[in-house]
Amino acid sequence: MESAKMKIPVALMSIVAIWMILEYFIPFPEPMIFAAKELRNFTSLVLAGSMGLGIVLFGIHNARRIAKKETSPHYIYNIVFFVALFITLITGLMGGRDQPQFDWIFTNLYSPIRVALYSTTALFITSAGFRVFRVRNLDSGILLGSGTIILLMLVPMVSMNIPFLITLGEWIQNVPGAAGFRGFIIGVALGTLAIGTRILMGKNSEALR
Amino acid sequence: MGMAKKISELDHRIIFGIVFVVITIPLITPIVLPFPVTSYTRDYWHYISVTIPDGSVVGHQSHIGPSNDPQLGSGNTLTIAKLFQKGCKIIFFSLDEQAPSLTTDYIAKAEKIIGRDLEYGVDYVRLGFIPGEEIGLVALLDNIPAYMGGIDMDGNALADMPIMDGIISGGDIKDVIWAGGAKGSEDYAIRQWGSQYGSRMASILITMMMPAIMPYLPTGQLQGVLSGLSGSAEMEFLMKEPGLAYSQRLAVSMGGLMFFTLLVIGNTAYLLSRRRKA
Repeated sequence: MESAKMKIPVALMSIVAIWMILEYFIPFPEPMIFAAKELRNFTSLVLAGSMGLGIVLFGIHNARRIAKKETSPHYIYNIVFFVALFITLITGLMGGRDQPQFDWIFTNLYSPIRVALYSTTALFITSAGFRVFRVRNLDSGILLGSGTIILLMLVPMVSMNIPFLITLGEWIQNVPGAAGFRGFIIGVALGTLAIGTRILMGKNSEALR
Repeated sequence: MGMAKKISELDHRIIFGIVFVVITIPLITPIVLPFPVTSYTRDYWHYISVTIPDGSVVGHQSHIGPSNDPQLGSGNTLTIAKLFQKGCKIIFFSLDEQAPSLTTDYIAKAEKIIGRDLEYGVDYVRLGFIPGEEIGLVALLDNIPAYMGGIDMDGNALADMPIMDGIISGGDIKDVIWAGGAKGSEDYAIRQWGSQYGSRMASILITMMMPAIMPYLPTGQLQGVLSGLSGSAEMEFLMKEPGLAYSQRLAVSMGGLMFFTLLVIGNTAYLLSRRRKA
């Protein structure tokens, strides 16, 4: 039974994947092309629906944490989640996306919170960079040297006075940087192909668990 | 513990304090620094001002959310303004659920910059949020009106809009501005739009994502790139519309110099402490 439970989804997944791959390269009969398009539209719809499912699951998770408040001292934040969810949901449903209150929540609450959270990365990156960028050996020395040139190229105070830094920095990005990343992209593509093939052959059934 | 070792392992709270002071003071100081325009921005500028034909239909996809809006918002707004100045029609959509709200602001600001009223359905149309990332993009580009169910994000009929005349698949949109932000979605945009339909593309992204798109610039798969706050400031300079990014260049300079100084101090202390240990 367990075997059938795994085999059927793997078989379905393999058929659909091979169909999609072949359809990209080979001209298929019209009904098969139409079916493939419908399948893609369906996937897009399922993914949109999964956002709703995500809210429901996250809601259940938060409700459980509130119910177990004696074990979690931070349950107040779970209540904040529900308050924020309902206020946003109600304002959104009442007047739509362009309603002033809904717009106000996005502009004056959501956006500043996101910006503030993102801004804190400047502090952590600086602190981590200070500790990590050390000339421990030749490799780290090259990394530090090229990183410093790119950094100084992006600092107008320096690059305006030493224009050569721009030429050098752009060369680092265009030649060794691009070459390295091209290798990275090809490597990722080959790895994806290998993993994809294993999944299609049912050898990586973790994808369905 | 020796002095060099102490400096080499400087407490992170001290570093946080230095970062805060060094970046905050220039932000509230009205000093504008001169800066050079990089070759990337020059290529991007050439693409939007010369390569894209006047009056053509341009696609605009945005992944710009509130977190990267401070660095990319200005460059994106000016790009939209420049295209409208050229009489281009823009089809806006987004593969990110947060971006459509910000796109409303960008269009409103661009309208102010160009100084004329834009007509919805003629100058631009908004398709809204397209779920599903790469699969969503493939499905959309295959048949745009069919995927959208014949309506835009507000439920208006696409068939009634002059901008949508002759626009069926992704190939009918010859030029694309892909505001990938921090998403790293340029890979599949090129794979599914540029290569598949032969459309030209340029990207707007945060500086951190630059290495990821570098291979696509020499091949012409990306015509140009507008990168981070520097790119936005350079666009403000080229458009002669100095704004927030322009003035923030001092903070960027100070932040960069501070990081450079920390690197020098950290490495000197590290080497001294290593020598002492040996």
